[in-house]
Amino acid sequence: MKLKISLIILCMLAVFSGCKKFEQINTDPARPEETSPQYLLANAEKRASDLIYGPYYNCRIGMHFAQYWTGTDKTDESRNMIIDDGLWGALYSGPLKDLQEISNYYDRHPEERNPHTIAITEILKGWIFHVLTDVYRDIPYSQALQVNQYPQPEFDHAADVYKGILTSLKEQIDILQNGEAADPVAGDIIENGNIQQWVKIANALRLRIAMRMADVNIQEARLVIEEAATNTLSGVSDDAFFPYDNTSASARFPYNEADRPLVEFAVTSTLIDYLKTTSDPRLPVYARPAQASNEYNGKTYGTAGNTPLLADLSTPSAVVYSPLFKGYIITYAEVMFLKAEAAARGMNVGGDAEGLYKDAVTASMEQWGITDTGVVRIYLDNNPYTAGEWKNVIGTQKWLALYMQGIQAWMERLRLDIKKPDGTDLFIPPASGSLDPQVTDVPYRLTYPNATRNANPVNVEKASINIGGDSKATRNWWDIH
Amino acid sequence: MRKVNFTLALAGFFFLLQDARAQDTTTVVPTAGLPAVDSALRINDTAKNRLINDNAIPAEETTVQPGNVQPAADLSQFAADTGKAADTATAATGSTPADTAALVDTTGKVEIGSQTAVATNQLTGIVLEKDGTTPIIGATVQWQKDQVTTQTDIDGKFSIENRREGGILSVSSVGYTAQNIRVKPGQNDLKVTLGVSSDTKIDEVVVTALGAQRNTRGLGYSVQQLEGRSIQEAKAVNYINSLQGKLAGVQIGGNSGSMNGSAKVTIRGLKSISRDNNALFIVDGVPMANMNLNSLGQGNGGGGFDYGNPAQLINPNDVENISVLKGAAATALYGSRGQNGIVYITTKTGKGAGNLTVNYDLNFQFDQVSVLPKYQNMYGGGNSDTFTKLYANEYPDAFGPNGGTYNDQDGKGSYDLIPDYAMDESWGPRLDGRNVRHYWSWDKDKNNPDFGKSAPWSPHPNNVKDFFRTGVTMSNNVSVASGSEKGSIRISLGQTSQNFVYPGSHLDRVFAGLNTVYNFTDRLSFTGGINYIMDKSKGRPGTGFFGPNPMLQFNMYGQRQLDNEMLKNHQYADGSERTWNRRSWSDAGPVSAQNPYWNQYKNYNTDRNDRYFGNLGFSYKITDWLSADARIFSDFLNHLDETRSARGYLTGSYTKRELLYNENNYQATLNLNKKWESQKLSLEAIAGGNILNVRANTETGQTNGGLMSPGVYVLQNSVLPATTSTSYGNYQTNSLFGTATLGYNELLYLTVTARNDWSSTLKQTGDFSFFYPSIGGAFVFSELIPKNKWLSFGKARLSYSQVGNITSPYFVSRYFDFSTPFSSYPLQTTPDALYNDKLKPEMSKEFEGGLDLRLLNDRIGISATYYNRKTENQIWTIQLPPESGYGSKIVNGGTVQNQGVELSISATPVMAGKFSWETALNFSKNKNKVIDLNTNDGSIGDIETFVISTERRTQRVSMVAMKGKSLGTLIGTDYIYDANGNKVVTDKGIYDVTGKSVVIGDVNPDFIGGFSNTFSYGNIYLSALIDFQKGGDFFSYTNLYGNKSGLFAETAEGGIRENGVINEGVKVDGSPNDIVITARDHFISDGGNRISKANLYDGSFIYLREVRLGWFLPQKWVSKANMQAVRLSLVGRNLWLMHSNAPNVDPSSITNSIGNAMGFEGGALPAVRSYGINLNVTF
Repeated sequence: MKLKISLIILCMLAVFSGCKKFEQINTDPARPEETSPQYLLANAEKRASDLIYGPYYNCRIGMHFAQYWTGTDKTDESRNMIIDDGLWGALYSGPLKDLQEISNYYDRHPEERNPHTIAITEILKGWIFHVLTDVYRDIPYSQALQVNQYPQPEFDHAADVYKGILTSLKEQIDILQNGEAADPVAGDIIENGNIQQWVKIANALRLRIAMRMADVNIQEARLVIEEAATNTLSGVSDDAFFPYDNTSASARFPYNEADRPLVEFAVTSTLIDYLKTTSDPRLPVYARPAQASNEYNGKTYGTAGNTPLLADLSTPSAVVYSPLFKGYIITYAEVMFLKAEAAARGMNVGGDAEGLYKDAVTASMEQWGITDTGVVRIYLDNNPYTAGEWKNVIGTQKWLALYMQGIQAWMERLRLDIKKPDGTDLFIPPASGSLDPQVTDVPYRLTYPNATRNANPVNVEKASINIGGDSKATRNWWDIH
Repeated sequence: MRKVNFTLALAGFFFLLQDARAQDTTTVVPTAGLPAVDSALRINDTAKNRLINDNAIPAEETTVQPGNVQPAADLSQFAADTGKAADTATAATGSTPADTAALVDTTGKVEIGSQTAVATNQLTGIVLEKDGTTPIIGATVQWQKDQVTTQTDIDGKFSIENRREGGILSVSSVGYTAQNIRVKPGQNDLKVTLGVSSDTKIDEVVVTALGAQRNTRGLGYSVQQLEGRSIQEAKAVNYINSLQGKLAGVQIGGNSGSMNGSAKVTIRGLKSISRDNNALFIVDGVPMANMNLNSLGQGNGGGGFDYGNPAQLINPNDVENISVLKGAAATALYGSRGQNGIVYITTKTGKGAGNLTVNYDLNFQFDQVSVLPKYQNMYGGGNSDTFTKLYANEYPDAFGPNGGTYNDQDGKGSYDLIPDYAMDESWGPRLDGRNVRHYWSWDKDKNNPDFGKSAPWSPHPNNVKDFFRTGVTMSNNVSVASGSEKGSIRISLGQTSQNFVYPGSHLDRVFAGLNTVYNFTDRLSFTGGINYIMDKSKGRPGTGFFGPNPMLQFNMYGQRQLDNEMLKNHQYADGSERTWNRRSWSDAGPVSAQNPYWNQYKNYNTDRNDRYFGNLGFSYKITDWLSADARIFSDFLNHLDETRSARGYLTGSYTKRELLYNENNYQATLNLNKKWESQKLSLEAIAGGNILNVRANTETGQTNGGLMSPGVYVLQNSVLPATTSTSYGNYQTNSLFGTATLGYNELLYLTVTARNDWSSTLKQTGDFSFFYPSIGGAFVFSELIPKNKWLSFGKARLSYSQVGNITSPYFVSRYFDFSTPFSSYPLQTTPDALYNDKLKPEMSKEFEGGLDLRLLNDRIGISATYYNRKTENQIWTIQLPPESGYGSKIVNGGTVQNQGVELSISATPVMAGKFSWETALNFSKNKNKVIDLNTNDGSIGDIETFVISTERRTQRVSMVAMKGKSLGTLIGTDYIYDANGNKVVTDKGIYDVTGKSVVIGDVNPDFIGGFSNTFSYGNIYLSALIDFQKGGDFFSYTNLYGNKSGLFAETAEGGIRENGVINEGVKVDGSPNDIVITARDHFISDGGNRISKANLYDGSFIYLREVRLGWFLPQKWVSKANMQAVRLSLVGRNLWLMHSNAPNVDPSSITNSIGNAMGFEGGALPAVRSYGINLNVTF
């Protein structure tokens, strides 16, 4: 009897000694335990572009607050009510984390370390962090993305984030230009590992970032701008963008009409009317005529409800609704507008403001496919540079040039407080009124998302106090009217 | 005879008492949950007694004919397919019919040892206990006719004089059911076994952990057991829904309109912050896969289809009983698995079925949509009060030969009025009967027979109702059973087919089951069961804010004037779609809504489940108090679902998903059952080990860029490369466990359990072994007081237990995810969830105490339970701030407390002759509270709010765990109130709104319960079950969008469309608001899309859930047809929402998932009421 029981227990113990198999059982057959930096880099580039040009963050936030588009039937965002607060989370835990993970990978495999790959990841981080700090103001930067050390990172002042990004960009340029030799960079979809091109992009970003703080720190801005202007994008062919293609559904520009007609947005009368009054050749590239009348007819920004009907309105063009549209990081045209502004502000960037302005407008035309020099010349004659109104002249043209780069255009609108060259208002407040009582006109920023509010409450609260209140009405540090 | 009758009447009376008592004990919580069911069963008994008296057939009389099987004249076989029908020469027992009182087998038996003619005047025999070996000493053996009596000796043997052929011999003993035997010539050497009477201290036996049958008397915790009939008579295709209101402390959430969609079973409240909160279903020891097959969208109001939870995939007709193990003490032996309570189902066997028992069950039911919103019928589609004029001169091709309907004689010629098809709202022109060109009057190039016609712009009040058809559900089930000394077998075949209320929706189920027992020797026996279920559905409705949900265009964004008759014509001759939501008169493509019939017939969804489950094992009796058992339990589930979008105006798509799930449990146990009579001690113990092995694999595939060829739904018909993915979820848990119950003098009982698990899911942490114990006691204090009629039984019970829990596979080491390659670039990404290689097992602690009382000669039973459970050191997916790089991490931390009471009362207020009234009430209240939300290691702190789910559409309302509040608090935006509580309006006249989310509600009900009443008269009974819930808030898309889009009555009442609205409230300066805004602005700006609170409702309800009117056909008719029993009943389910505080929806029917998201009514499908007929015949 006892023997039998002992035998059974013995058999069971034998079974349980099989726990060694557990490690194998608890190893996922469907996922790799190690990756390769090139896969992460490619994914980060694509993901960042997908988000920044996504149907919500670009179309409903950027393109709205830059007043290019307005909603057709769903008009909450046109009236300053934001529903999806995921941009922050998506950027941090998406591309930024994958870029960070490349460094982590090299820490695990120091023998494979590729300084050029790291430099490119840092430039990309700079681009993304800059978007984040502009959209939200104070953000976690120095403690971000280090989950084991800082599971709840502290926030940095936006000015410090600017400083950090500018320093980093300069360092990366140094590494790429003067650092040790490295193997070719794999997994770089944007520039295919072209190091010199990345140097130009880094400098272009330095121009953008430094100029954005020009109103508050002109000395620092001047130093950076004058240096960066010497080696940056030098033609439309240098435009830095994510090259969407048609090889698969996910390879397409994130908001496109390949599968279905898009009916959510109309082009604003703000844009259509301005393009019409200035006989802008970009009009048919930016918008399509109303279906019913075959005429260009914008919808008044922020009009609630489906009036007028979609058929009576201009919708975004087939060019910008194409699955092949580009996910821009920064363009030659923007660089030229930055240079023109720098010149207008008296900086030395190799040229006078008017000439640079003309180059900038010409570059924008070329970028949008208008290469007939005669057409461009007439346009420039009709829209000349005037030194006394440089802010509005450059501002308006830059706004037109930044079409589709919603977030950047929104920021430039805030920074330059753009009016028409004649000084009259270009933008209007939402026609049916704002649904957010704190902002009647255009939001200055987005509020901190619930994801961080819930999971990092103490630091969010500190940051909210630091910036003077977590509302859409709080201006960024560089936005001093 | 007179005396017999009198005795019988007494016995009958006694029955009711016994039965009421049996119930009380069935569940430590008496009748509580199962009122209707049990009551009906009791009626059954009443019927029996009544019949007995009517026909003057002694119930306890059995005719024994040598070599001839004669079904007993025993109406206990009435109830459904008992599986315990009359045995060969079974004596009727006069006790509870087999299917009433759980597992107390009260049936006795008589065997004839000798059939040769005996010349003596003596009759000899032996009287034994049911086990067939233990003699019953001192049993009374008596000839009824002349009262000649004797008693059995020490070996149970008797010898009685005055033998009379054909006479009735009565055998009885205290604590056993009496046997009456009609002795035929030639019979001798009777072997009489007596069943245990429920009128003994034996009390009730219920199924507990590991399927062990235990006397409730000794249990230190609450177990509630329902009979199979509770889900068999008034059938719901997802039988889990039939449990609604019948079990104390068990909340069941579903949506009756979702075509056998998910039924979420929450026992004693939500416990886990981010992991599963559903009860575990076990059938005959087989843990049933019950994963959430639905997308996240079902829970948070987004889109998707509700495929139903797999636990419903069993044959309800096979169910013998359902035992619900609620607390940690009851489930301690299951450890990780039993965390959320266990629903333990035991299926029928052929035991006691005699040579052959056949049962046939037919169910025929109609389903009808019962709760629809109140619609307005004054205004049609559009958002302005005017139509567009289209002139025939300008667009001659758009008109028929007669030109337009109107002519203003202004030189422009004739024209037609064009409604705004593209606008999916109903803020349009008044439905005044003007002739307009409806959406169906265009498309000349498609040879539209209706081309060019104008028709009145007029209301169609029933257009939504008319879309739904009357559903028809038919179920057939046949079972064949046989049982003898050597073993038993039961085979069951069943079928269900359903045409549901949605056009084109159809479901088929096929069931096959086999249960068998074979005794090789007295010591070695085999038991095994295998089941197959095929389940396939076509045309399920979508749920939530999702095109394929017809309610999206009926209740959320749509036009009121549509004529359903015209919608039915959903395509032209060339196969292209005809939708009301066309882009314009000249463009037939849909803006957003597709024709609802097109959705049902062209964009249909199909799914199929194949499930095999069963168990096989040997049992070896080592001594009469010790046995060893080895078994394998296996469950295979194969789920396939396919979603189609037809190529037409849209490019089309096809998605498929296939899930293969297999769980095997290999289990060996030693079972000890010993009594030391001298010391008044008893010991019941189990020790054993189990290996649980799960293999899970999901494959998904979807087309991209549209379909190349229309109508072909395979992945290779994809314009761009189709994407596929594979995922796994394999794990293994090895366990050793033991339990022992020591009893003293049937007065005191002590139970301990212990279990140690080794889990593969925690292997890489090194800390993958964990141990947890429980201890419980029962004190039957009524043993200590003298017998009295006020308190016939009283017991106090107490238990304390710990339960461990594990994590999901693959969360304790680093992985990377694949992304779809871009062009020639392969992509990989870091997962959003951070792994944790220091994870520890989870541990909950529960204290439970309770009292069971029976009063007034058992006429009243009361059971009360209090529990206090702390789930701490939870394994949960904490949200990390995204700036850390990760969205979440599996951690240990967080503490949730659940405290509650469960109360059940059952009573038999009236018992008068043929009439009886029985009533039962169950009530439970659970209060849960989030104590802490931080990690145990202190790495993540200061967390006050954890978002469990955010509704998809406005993204303002979230179900959260909030420190100090209940798990399931709802947050969102609220009105702004002044000091006096008035709502503040802005200078635009709309309500002002909080900038941040604040607490606006709680999904947890204050209390839930059920109330049943059964009235019986003779062999007819009427039973009604009402279930109720107080509180439990939800955010309603139906009300939000139905009003925002101008669809509901509220938007056109009181002249508000004509005169505008002045919001009740004060202006910022404190003066009363006097700003007039349009009705449309009001519903757009003041609704839940901006102010969440505006569409937050209280989920209280009172529901007439189930009614059954049954009739047991008189035995004399039945016997003539050579049948044993026939029951015919009219049944109804979800009959009447008697009370609700929420408009336009059925608050008890808004759940579309077993996931954790609750409190979001995302465009619920309409509630469906069912009624029909159930016929049950036993041959």
